[in-house]
Amino acid sequence: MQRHILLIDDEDDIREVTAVSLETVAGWQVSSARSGVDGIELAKRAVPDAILLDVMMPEQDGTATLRLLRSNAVTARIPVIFLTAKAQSIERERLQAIGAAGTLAKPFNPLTLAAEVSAILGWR
Amino acid sequence: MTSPEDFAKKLDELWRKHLPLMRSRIETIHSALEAVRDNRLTPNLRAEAAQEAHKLAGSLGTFGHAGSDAAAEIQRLLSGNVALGSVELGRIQQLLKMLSQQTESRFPSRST
Repeated sequence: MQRHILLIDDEDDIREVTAVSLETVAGWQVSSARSGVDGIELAKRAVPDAILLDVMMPEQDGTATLRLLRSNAVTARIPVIFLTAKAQSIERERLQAIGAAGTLAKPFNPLTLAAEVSAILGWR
Repeated sequence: MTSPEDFAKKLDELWRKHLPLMRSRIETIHSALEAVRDNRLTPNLRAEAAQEAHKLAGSLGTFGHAGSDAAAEIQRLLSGNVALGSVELGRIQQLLKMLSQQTESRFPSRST
């Protein structure tokens, strides 16, 4: 089954590597946005199966973006996985407490990223 | 889905596309080091260099590049208010030289 992932990250290179990884390794469809504001608009229109969301972004960071996604009826139930360089357990707990489905540590391995996303979301 | 060879080729293309950005980030760290030597390092320049090292570590790591760890160590040394003495500066210089050489070499795989 082809999944549709929305990727929100302000870094062009990381966004592009992530997209290539998920498209070529897993065969998923990937949409991407470089800011939380653009990502929310895209999520409302496309309603992806899951969102990969960078925590540290200028202006509207990942946690603010997640709160806005959760407050909108269209996007409220889309599972969100945070991408973070701060992968300590206390940070993971903080992010899951505000509604994340899980967290993935940056930098990640592009060869195993799709499998890690699937494992978090319980996808086969 | 594509073959591992196609995936590696796509990653290689992205690496070449974003190499100028990597070089620019390394240059920012170089500038901060020169500013320390000339006794004109400002908190802003130091913070900018630490941020660039952070981004470099993330980018290189995502590409599976061996230089990611060196960039992360530079970030640690530049972050915060720790005084940059000769030992720290020497280490940053060493890491930066290694990073520059690795970045200019062929696309290095995660296994290297």
